[in-house]
Amino acid sequence: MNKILIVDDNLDNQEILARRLRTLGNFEIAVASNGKEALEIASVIKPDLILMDLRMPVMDGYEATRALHETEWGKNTPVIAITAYASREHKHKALTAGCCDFIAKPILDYNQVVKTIQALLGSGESGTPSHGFQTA
Amino acid sequence: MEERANILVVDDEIGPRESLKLILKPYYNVYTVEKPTDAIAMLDHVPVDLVTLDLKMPGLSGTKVLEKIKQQDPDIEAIIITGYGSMDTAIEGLRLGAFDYISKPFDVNHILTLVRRALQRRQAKMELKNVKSEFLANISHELRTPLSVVIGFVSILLDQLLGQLTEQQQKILERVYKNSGELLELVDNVLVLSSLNAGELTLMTEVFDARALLDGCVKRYENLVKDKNIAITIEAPTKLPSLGDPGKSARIVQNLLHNAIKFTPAEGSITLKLGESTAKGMVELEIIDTGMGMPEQHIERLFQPFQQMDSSIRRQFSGLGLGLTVARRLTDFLGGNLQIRSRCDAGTHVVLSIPQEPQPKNTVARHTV
Repeated sequence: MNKILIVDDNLDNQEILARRLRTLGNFEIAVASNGKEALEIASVIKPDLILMDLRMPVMDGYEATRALHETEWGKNTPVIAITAYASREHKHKALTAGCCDFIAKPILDYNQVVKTIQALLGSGESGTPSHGFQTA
Repeated sequence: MEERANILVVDDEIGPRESLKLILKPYYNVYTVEKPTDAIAMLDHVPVDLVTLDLKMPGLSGTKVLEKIKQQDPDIEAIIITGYGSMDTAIEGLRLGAFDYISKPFDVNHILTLVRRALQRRQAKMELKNVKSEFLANISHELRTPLSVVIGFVSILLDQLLGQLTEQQQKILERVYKNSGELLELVDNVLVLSSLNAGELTLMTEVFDARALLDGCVKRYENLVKDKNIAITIEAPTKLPSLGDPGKSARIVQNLLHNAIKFTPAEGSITLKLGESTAKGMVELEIIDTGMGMPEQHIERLFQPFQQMDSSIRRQFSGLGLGLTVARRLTDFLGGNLQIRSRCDAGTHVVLSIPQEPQPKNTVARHTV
């Protein structure tokens, strides 16, 4: 079973995403509330994929993604940014930090999210289009 | 200042051009051009902070160049160099936003002081700009976060992940979901409008499929369409690769479509025609609805924020009328064209054209590629 780490400082959003993913896919879910905690948990459980909020206290998602990809065990772990930031500028910043996709909250189409996750787990490739409410 | 500023010296005479270069070189990165037209081209290659400009040059006049520079990026500072002691052109330059002017032959200390002060003003402006844009991004984030919790949990209930709902519970939650969606549209539109007003919108050019973008916009409102049993017909190629700003284009299409759905009565129909325009390099979208339409003289007023046709209409259809204003302003930003044709009781026909490679008009944002 694939392990997914959900990182979000908003516990409600953690729960929403965890419930959706448990229902839609055969995933083992772990959660973290900021980038630092995410790195600590990830170093132990070695997730197959990380869903990363960007704006978080202690350590934000950009920094956590960069740090993760600098580790030996996490350098190939795909990270999808899931954030209430909705601009293309933030998308660009997330991709530059090493995220392989960007999903704007609120998410409307969870099936699409699961498809993106499965594509990344299956082939390790990126480049799927974005979902959710992205603004100008 | 930790980083050396970039200064562009524009002068057709070699004497002043080279002496300015010598004076400024120890402190700044200096670039020189002879022809005013080269000055504009230079801006695309070097992030210029300040321009010194001789206003009396052959060809494109100095004031025209200044105007163009300020159009491209109003935060680039300019110092006018004038050799003829002509006060008129110097004043014209100041009117166009130049920081100050200096007459030839110039004093070394005077020019260095002016340059330093102009760069200080630029730095202060850039800092303010960053604060403004960060503030808007934070507001957007803080408004969308609670909304995403509401929408997320309601959709979990609606999809019956936590157990079956009675018919009444389902209906009420659908209304909560629908209204959360409306609130999200409103939040997004207010934020786009604030960004436009603050000059904080940046053009993002990338390759995207215009057909997929249209489908995505239609999907966003599928519940509203289902509610009113509106028939949507799409006439479009299966793929339409485009080069432009997909985020802003989607916002425009969403607002126009949302409007069409709102004003089309139950059982009505909306036709969407997407294709390349007869005008070269444009993508065109037509939205034809069977709504109530409106008298011609009211069309222009629709583009004023917070205006719907009259108060009786406002009572029938809620909303501030922000959507069309944002659509028009964003279309202008992308260098496109938005036309609305309508008659009372004859539906509304919207024609939107957006250039493939947008040329923003009157943008305040720095051009990013």
